[in-house]
Amino acid sequence: MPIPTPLSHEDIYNRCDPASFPFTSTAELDGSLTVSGQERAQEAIRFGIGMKHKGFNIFALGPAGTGKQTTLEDYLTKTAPDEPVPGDWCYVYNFDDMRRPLAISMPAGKACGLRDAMEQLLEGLLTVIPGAFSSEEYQEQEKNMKEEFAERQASEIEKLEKKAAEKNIALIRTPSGFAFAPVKKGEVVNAEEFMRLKPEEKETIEKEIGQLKESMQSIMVQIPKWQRETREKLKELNHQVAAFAVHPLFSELKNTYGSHEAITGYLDNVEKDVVEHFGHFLEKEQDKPQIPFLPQQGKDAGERRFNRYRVNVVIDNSKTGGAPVIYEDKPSIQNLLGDIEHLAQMGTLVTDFTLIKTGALHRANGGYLILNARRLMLEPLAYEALKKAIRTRQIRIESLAQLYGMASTVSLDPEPIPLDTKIVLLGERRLYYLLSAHDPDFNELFKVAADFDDEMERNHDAHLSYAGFISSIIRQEKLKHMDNHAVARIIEYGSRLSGDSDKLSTHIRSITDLVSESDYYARENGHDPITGQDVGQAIEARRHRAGRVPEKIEEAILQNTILIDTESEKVGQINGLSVYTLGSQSFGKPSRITTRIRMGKGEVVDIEREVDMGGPLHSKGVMILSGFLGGRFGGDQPLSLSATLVFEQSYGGVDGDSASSAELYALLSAISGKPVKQCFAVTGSVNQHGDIQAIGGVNEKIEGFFDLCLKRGLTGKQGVLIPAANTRNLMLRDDVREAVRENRFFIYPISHVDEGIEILTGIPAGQKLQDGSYPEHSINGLAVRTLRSMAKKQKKQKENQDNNNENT
Amino acid sequence: MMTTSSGNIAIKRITVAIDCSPHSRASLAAAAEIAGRLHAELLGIFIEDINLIRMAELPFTQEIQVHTARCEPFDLEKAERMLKQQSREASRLLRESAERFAIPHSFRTLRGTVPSLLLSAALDTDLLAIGRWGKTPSCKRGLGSAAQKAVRESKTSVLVTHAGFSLQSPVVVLFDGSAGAKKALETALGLVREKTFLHVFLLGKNASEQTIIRKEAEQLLGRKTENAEFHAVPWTKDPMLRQCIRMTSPGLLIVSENTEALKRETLYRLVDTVDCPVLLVRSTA
Repeated sequence: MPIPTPLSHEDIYNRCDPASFPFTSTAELDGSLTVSGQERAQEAIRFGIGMKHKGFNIFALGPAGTGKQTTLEDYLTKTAPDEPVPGDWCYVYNFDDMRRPLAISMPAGKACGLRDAMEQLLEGLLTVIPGAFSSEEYQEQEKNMKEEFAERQASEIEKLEKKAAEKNIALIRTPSGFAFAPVKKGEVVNAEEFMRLKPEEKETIEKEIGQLKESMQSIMVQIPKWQRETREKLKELNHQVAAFAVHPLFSELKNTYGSHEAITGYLDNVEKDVVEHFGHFLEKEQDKPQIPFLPQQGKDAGERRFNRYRVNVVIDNSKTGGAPVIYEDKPSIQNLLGDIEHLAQMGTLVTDFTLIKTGALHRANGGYLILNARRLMLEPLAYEALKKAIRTRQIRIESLAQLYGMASTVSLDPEPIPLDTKIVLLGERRLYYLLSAHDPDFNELFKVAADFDDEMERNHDAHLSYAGFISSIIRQEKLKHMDNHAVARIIEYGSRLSGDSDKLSTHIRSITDLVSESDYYARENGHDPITGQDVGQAIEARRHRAGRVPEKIEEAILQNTILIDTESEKVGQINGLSVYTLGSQSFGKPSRITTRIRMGKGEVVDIEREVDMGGPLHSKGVMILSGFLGGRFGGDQPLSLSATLVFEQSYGGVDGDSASSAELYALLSAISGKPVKQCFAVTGSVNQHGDIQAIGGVNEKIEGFFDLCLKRGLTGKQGVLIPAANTRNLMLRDDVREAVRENRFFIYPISHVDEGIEILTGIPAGQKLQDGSYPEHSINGLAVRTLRSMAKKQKKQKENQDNNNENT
Repeated sequence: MMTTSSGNIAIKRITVAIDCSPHSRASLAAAAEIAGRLHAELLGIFIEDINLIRMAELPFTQEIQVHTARCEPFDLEKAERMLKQQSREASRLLRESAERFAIPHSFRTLRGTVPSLLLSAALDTDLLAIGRWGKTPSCKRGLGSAAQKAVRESKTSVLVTHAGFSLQSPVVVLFDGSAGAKKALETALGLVREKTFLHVFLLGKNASEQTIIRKEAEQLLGRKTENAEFHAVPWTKDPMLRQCIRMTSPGLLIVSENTEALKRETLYRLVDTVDCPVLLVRSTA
């Protein structure tokens, strides 16, 4: 099998040519925000926004920073202004049930007008009603009625008094009532004189007094009835006066809102209530008793007296152009559905419909509400409340404290407002899949998934799109413009970020950060516009800032605390490569992998797994090695060896199968007895046929080994064996590329294990001959010889054991 | 009532009849306020009606309860007990009112016929304060029997009040330039406070007469004309005059018994029907 040639410096970096741009600076671009590479998600958004049916709400899923919100806002900014402006809503007093305020809808911009009109009406009522009731005519009528009652009462009593007087009997007021007594010359007859009267005279007086008493009693029984009649008449008069006084004010208002049935109905109720409670408009603040030692209830309390006639505008779309687009940053239940606030008054909590506060759903009604899904889940009860609102298609404001019995004050149950809002949740993929799997309502309510990709195809159009995006960031953040070299560097960084030289990352946040950081270095360097050097400095500085851990590891290797050989040749020992991710940064690090063999039953023991430090993928990779060895060498004879594999000086556990090819090379070295050149490091997984398969983090791995070799001094022999399939992922650093260009460092794209073993040992793997054997001095041939020798020894040992058993 | 050399009236002692009815409470409050203003002594009188006692002594007397219309026996023991209670209450009311204005006071309980005892008790005082209605059964129409008698027969000036009296509210004086009217105006000057508004009703037959009496009034008022308003009132009959008085919403009407422009009966009818407190000034005092 021919050995693959090392990759050239051009193969390991997909350069972006600044000259390919039709501009020299981003200042020449229009700065319009375009997010590319998200066609699938954009199509889903278009579909979701367009679908007006129930449940077609959108969940935009994708890693943070991939431009979900930007894409949505960009789309909605273009489409929402062309949609109809939703109406206004206001809450008013419910005269039939004060606990259930009524919601009234009206065309956009009308609610504030109604509110102001009601305030003016109130002012008018406060003038008109007292005026009507203080008029001379009314006072006269009222007095007449009261006097009529007094007259009637007095007249009846006077009549009785006269009747009594004719019989020489007087009506006398006692401390608690009335009594009759005989009189003579204006004075009551005393007891002695009375006793001197003839019995028949006494009897006559007593009889007459008895009759008078009955008459008096019947008058007194009538008095409450007369009082009631007077009260009724007075009430009727008051109603007539109040109705006459207020009607012109209401009539004018009703004419204004004549076409709106709900408002005219409400105004009818207000008019009726004002006439009914005209007395409130006659009360003066100073007439009310003040409680000593307490602050004056004063203006606020007085103002609140007439709240029932006020209008609480909860949605005012007078300044809204098109459908509203609301992003609620803190989606708590109160912020979503609104709340009913309370006022502390005299030690108790009171509320009314003017204290109803709206939430994001109200503001977004008739438009779009964008929420962060993770934050929504973190807010207690908010997700359930949102689902209920979507399901029932109405916004019902409930006081949380009331709902859970935390407050026992009287609260309100406002009339729900119909909900017509497209809800858009932004979240990570894992959250979407979790909700989809475990919440039965979720799939019903969020039927559209806008899946944001974290990478896009890299081509000329994508380059221009990236440049446009960079230009928009620069304008938004008011940064220095970039020249075409800087843009090219950022595109190359985007490619590196995606882990593929033919792709670009769509992680907008990372790119935005890099542009801002480059601006910083350009300012430090006195460059304008930002140059490619500034971008390179920003990338390097970012690496340096995150470089404490990799530098410590490298230091340990250089001090031989961690043993990594980069010069000699060793049997059964190889340099593997692994990737570590700390925060937002990843770095590669070489690890020594060793293997020892002995006679056994053909198993490969993964020491990492034995001590529970190996992950399942790693164990799988090791088991594949057994399959490969069995397939290649176990066809004619049993594999009479046992091998142990270990990641030396690994204390944190190992997972992934990217080291399986390195482990196989170490095994082949151990079995064949041929040493592996330690100037190489290896990455790549292997299958049972010996094919080398792609792995992740190839750039970091190569750079990790390169850094170590560079520190020790490049010998011109060192290099890395990578899966050939990973060649397209290469976007290596400048210094690596430079070393490759100068043939001081080599990167071999390996397709099969036989290619790799030849590079590593300098001995061909050896192709199987027609008789099934391998060339004697090839790796395979040497391995077969070792295995055969082991098998013989094992067989002989077994025979000896059997003989011993027979003898005994 | 006397007039001092400086022209100020001198009310030194005020008799107030207290029967614990709402109007007598108002009259007590008015008397106390005037006494406080003029540093006068307050003499409270509670009269145990002899007719009530006699009635209670009769063997068959029954009381018809106001609020239930039921008949209950009414004997002497009950009458005495109730009168004592009322007397104590009257004494307490007087004490409280007097203490509020820091004025000297005394209290007497008398037994006899109410109107005549009242007039005789007020003889050696300068002013008799009495509620418009007392406990007359046919109440709430005009003056009560005691008030009527006081207005017509008392030798001293009489203050007839009901709730609403205040020396801070506007005061109306009927002025025709007669000696009695001048005394009424002087009385008003002595009673009103600095900022109290004074309405002087000029009862002249024609414009020239009104001009003359206005000048006389202005002379009497001196610097206090700032807070005074003069109204030419050509009517001297009760309904029109009453209507004019009512339009100013006064807190007190001051009128002399000897106002020449008013007939005596017209004056009594006016006092009887006007719906504000009235101070009837008598020149004989």
